Amino acid sequence: MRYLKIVTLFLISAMPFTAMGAAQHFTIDPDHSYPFFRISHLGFSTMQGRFNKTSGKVVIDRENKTGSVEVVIDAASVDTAHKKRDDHLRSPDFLNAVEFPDITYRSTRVTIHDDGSADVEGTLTMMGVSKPVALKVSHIGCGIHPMDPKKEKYVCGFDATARIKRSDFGMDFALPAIGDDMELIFGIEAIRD
Amino acid sequence: MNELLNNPAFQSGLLPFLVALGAAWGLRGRGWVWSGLGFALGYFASVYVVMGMPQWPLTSARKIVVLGAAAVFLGLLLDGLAVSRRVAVVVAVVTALGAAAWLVWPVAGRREGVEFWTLPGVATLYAAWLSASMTALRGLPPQAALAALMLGLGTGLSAILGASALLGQLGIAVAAAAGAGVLLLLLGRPLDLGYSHALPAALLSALTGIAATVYASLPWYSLAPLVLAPLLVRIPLPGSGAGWRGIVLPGLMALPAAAAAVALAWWQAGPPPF
Repeated sequence: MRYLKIVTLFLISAMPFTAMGAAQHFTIDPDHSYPFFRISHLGFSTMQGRFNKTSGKVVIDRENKTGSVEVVIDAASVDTAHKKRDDHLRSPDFLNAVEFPDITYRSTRVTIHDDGSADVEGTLTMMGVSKPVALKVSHIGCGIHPMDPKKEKYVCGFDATARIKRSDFGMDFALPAIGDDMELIFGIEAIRD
Repeated sequence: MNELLNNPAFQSGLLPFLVALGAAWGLRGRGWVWSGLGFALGYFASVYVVMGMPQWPLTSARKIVVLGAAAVFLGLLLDGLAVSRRVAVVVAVVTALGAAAWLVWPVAGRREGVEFWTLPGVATLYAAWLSASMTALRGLPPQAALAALMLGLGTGLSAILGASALLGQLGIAVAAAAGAGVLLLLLGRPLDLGYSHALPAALLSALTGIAATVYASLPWYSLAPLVLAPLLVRIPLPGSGAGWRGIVLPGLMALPAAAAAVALAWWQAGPPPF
């Protein structure tokens, strides 16, 4: 009876550690992580661009079907393959990158589904304005990196999309000629800490 | 109607010009010294259609608008108290120093050592000089209106080339509102432009130019010729006394300052990206 009590106590005290152990912590790989955006250009075509510098942390807890994500994007790294347009996008007309150098996304709730997809609720902060933005994650793929000679580098990656209105963040220059609706596409890879 | 309201030429050209003209005409019964307010009303009408009401967070462009409004009230106070020109110049310099420092602080605060002092130092000196030299034009309405016109034009067009249409529009709105004063003078109206015209015109031009160099891509040296504009309008020319010559000739004298600013911006940046 005494042994049973000890074993029960041990199991109960170990439960939180089991839960903690299920959460895996990752650091975003800046060389394989790029946020992209798509926006209507004067109603003629869809302009696409990306940000070249991204950092952040990801936590994936498959057992509890949750996690967290924190992405920091260097606003000045915007790249649309046209230097003058990029300068304009960095200016106060659009991203105001000197005044607000970081664009951040911080999750408040992550739900991982059985099929590997996920729904993420969080806050996007751009140009000093924070708004709730939901990310739709199509699939979380994880495994040992095939190019790692030691076969130790464990990587998780995912593609996520979101839709925002740029005017919600005070970016209202050239509306409505340049579209208000923006599609954000995150291609993220993260290496386990 | 929406198409017209969204047209940048209307927003920062025609609208501030017409509002400033109408307001100056309407305020003539309050004494011509108050017609300086016409400039302010024209400018802020343009700001309203370009940016809407100032909101949080206070970005550099919104700070410029807030500081411009404060400069109008300060100018009215100086006009109302009938302070001497020397006192007005001192007030203008102190105001410009504080305003420019606040504008560039988000960037200066991230720098260290010599760089920490360089940016606020140059920016505040530029704003202080323009504010002092424009305030000193009190009593010289043609020169004051023309200097404001050239400062706005030079700053606005340079800012557009420096990759910010928003700041460019704010600069051109200064020129358009000041242009209404020039037209009234050409029509022979006794326009007595007060500190409520000189101080905001100078401060708005200076802050817009500073913001275009710090927050957009305008090279700092393209603003350098503009420091000459308030001086060039003072150069006495033969036959430039009363009448239309007294208005056109000072304008022609200051035009090279604005043209040089735009040329330098074009030389560095090329045509605008939009």
